[in-house]
Amino acid sequence: MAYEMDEIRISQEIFYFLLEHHEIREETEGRLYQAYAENERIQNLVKSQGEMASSSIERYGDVIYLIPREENYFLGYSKAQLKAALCKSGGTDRDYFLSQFVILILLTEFYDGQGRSSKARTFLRVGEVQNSISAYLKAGAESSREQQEEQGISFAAMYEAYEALRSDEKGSKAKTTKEGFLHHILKFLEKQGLLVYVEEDEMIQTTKKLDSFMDWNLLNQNHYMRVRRVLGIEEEGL
Amino acid sequence: MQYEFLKQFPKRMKNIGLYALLFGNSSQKTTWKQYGFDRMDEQLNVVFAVMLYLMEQSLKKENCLLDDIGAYLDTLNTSSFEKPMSYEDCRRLGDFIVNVVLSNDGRPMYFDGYDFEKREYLHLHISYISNEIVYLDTGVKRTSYRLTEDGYNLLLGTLEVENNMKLTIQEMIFKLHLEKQSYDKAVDAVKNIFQQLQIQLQKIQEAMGKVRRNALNYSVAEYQQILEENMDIVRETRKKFIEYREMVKARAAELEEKHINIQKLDEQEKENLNNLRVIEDYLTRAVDEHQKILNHHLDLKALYTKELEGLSQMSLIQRFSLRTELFDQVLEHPQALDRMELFFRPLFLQAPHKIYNLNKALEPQQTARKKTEADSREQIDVDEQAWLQEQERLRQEKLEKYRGCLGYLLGRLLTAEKFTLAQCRDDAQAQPQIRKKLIPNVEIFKEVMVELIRGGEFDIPALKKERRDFIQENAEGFQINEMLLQLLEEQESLPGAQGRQLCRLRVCRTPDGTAVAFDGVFSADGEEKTIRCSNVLFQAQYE
Repeated sequence: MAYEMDEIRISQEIFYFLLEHHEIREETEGRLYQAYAENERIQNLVKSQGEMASSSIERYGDVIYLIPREENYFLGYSKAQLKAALCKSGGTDRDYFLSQFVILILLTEFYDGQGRSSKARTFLRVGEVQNSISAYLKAGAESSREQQEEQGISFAAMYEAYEALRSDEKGSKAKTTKEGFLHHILKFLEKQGLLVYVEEDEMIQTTKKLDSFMDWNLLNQNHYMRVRRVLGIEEEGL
Repeated sequence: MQYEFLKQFPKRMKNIGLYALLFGNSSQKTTWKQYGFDRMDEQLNVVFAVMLYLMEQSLKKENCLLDDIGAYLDTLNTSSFEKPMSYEDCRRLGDFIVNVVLSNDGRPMYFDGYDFEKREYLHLHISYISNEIVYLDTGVKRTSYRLTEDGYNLLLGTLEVENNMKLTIQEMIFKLHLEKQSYDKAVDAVKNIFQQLQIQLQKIQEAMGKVRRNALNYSVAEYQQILEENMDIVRETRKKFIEYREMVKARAAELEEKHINIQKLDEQEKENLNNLRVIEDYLTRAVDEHQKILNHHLDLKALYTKELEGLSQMSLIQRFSLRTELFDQVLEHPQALDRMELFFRPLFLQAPHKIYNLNKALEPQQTARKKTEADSREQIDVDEQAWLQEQERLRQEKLEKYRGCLGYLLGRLLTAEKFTLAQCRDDAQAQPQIRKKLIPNVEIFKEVMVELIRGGEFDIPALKKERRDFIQENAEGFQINEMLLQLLEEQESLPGAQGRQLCRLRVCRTPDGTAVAFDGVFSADGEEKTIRCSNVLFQAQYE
């Protein structure tokens, strides 16, 4: 199929903009958004460019997003990079697993719905999240007690590590407190445009971006193989 | 259907649900007891008082933070409830009312109403307030609360009449007021009408927000209702408002005419005239608001169509349950956490690595100021007040050192009129206290010398004039001109000061181009160093 030079140019512009800003909103970038949404040829060009960059380009609602594929460590975070971003220097693997678990808890609390949207909560308070972390770690420690020794990752150890963090009423941001640990994770998620975190009011809300990603990408039955890989059911199959 | 009167039963149940859920949310909570609200009546009085405050703020389109609610409750408490609550308690009570009683901790609330036509229960969604993130003038991010449509319905139902009657009754009252010429009441009436319009406008905006978030959450029935309401309001009231405006204008003109002709109006008439102007103003704004409703109405229509089109492709997506399929599994097999980042990968994006452009090396260079990271301040675990005080103390201490160094040079100049840095060095080597004064540390000495040499010539009267004529902010750090003048004034005010006034201070390198070295001086962080500086000649000139 022959493309016009204009179409190629604008598709390249769109892709570079995505590379720089990770998303294109209709409100602020109306020109690029419309070029993408209204012209299927441009859409195809951008998508193919995304494929070359090992990512997918999706339009959810009035925003176009750049989404890295599982094996993309250039745009996406590798495990080591994620650890560096979430846990401060000197963090152990245990800290990293704990941080992953905390993010999973946040998502599960927010997106437990089975209705038209998976979103089940409009907001969470920081204190509540802290309590759920404790509760789930404890539950995990009990349910997986038998097998934890051989696997190397144990909820019991994570629970101990978490409970060993001080609890600080004054809302200290030091890494040695529960508040500080959570604060750091929340700040990271906020920087990624997934949450809105109002420190003053201890309020956590999700953004439209996270809502769309959960509804249409992460929890999409078509992407269920991701879960199977995480759970180690289909390691070789893919 | 057998019984006609059971039609629209869910609609009634929705209204019942508005009360029922609120009572349910409030009654089983023990938090009330902490603040001394033991009886249910007391509790509900407070809840509705808070809701009315929220309505007031929502109508004014002003922010409503927890702090505001706390302050409001505090005022109410001191004037009326008289419970033993501090301001902090009031704030916590406000937090409880807004986030627990009215928002159910962020969990959506449903009330099941039986639909006798479909013979099933309908889940009626109920929400009293919504919150949004706002940025205050200071750039601080806060949560602001406002009333939703359900909230308005509930509150208006407690005093105002049923929804579709409201406007016409208000209009009737307004007309009566106008005819009876009791203008102050007419002002209230027209304000009310204006508020109705604003509520409708907010309704549309809320609906647009909902559609934008997820068009599937917005039902066709809701859409139809809001469209009909819009059309009714716009159709019925616009013409009337314009008529009112004309009428009010005519009356105001009449009164004004009188004002010119008779030159004298009694107090009552003056007030009437003022009220009429207010009414006219409101009516003009109401017509504007109409225009906005009409525009929003069209926007909503376009938006809904577009979103639905987009969603028709998306709606086929099947979702799995995060809790059962992943979370519960992870609880049993924690080793999955090791690969968890796979699942999160689409969520996090990092910036690509930077590429260095060699041409940058050839550009004129500027000192890159160290940018303090916005986040780093928050990690310091100290009392902010104490920290600021400590910073101020350190700053003063440092300034004192500058003052010592410059003061020594100036003092010497006042006695000797002319000397070189080499002479200073010789004295400093002989007397440690001079050396300590002249060179508190390397950095400070260097800065003072650099500033002096760069300045070259200091015209004292001109500097004084400049200081007099310009209002300057108190500079944070070391300012040579400022300090020079301060020191001079101090010297002059000393009892033994000579009567002559220094008018010019000249600092220049000596023509022979030799250098002066100071050995064994310490830098700010305690390192021993040698300073080498070109020899400098200091000269004073008096009037």
